[in-house]
Amino acid sequence: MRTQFLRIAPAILFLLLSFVLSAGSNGAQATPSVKVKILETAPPGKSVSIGLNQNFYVRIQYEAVVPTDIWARPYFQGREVNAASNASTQHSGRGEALGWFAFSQPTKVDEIRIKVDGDNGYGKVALSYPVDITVSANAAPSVGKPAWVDDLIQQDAELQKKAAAHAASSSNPVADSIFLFGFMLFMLLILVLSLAAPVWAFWKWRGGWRIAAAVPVCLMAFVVLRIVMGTSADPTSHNLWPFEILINGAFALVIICVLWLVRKLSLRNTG
Amino acid sequence: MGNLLSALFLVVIGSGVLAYAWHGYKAGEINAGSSGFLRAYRPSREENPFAYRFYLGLYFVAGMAMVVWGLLILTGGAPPLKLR
Repeated sequence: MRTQFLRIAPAILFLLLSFVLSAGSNGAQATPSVKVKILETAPPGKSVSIGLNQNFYVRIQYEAVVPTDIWARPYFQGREVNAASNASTQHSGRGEALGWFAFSQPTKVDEIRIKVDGDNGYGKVALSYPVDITVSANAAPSVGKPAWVDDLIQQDAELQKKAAAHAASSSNPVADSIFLFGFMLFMLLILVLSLAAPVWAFWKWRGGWRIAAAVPVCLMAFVVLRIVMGTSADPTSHNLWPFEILINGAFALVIICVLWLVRKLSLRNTG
Repeated sequence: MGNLLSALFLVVIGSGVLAYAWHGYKAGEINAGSSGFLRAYRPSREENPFAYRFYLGLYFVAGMAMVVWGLLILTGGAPPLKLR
């Protein structure tokens, strides 16, 4: 009993250490890496009326430790309102960013949320700002933009230009093409294997193994048939058909590999 | 979690039906409901080949459909069961 405990003691210690370290790193992540503040809006004021397709601009002051995207999104009663908004450029250090949104239908907004990059990209709320915006078709027409809007639009355009130039200079076109070609070749191989392997197994194996091999065959047949029937009814219904085949094909390939392994082991055991 | 549960349920039940179909194929007869009070209806390959093949095919297709549906749920290609 004691020797067994001594054997597993390092594993328990390792698990405890990992837990403590991960808890520590989570605590570090909880510290906000982005601080934002809304300086002003256009149209100004917290209670405003805007027309359809009229932009509502938000001037955001930020302080970001790492390059971060910043968006301003409208909410009403806790739910995100459907609105067009600007694509964010990456911001770092201290400065000002522009956020805007516009509506194609009459609605109301009672909150603006400033969102920054979250764990999965878009979505971490950095600030909630209460407002009372009414969007209607017969609102008074807007009376021009303040100077800060044009300044921030120009700043965004320059940032985008810089980012594009940096991306172009840091990429190696030959290496990129070789990588892309290799990747596509690998995908093609997976595709061919995923279709051929189940058919081969179904053809070669006998008895219950043949029924088991029929499962991935039927899976692939169903996927291909659904794509053929779907596209014959609506040509745009399966625009990503190679990925559909690839995802299901990889799955079928995994099933066949597992079956092949189990069959091999069982045949070896039965002699 | 609901997807995984649905997929697991369908794959397990479907595999069971397929296994029973295979067992029926090897044995040469298959259970197919009842024939009168407390008497199982078991068509066999020799005595009732049509009914035997019909039920064998039915079990095979049903089992396969359940397994394929379960696998498609895992890859996001089919909706999960509406479990409550």
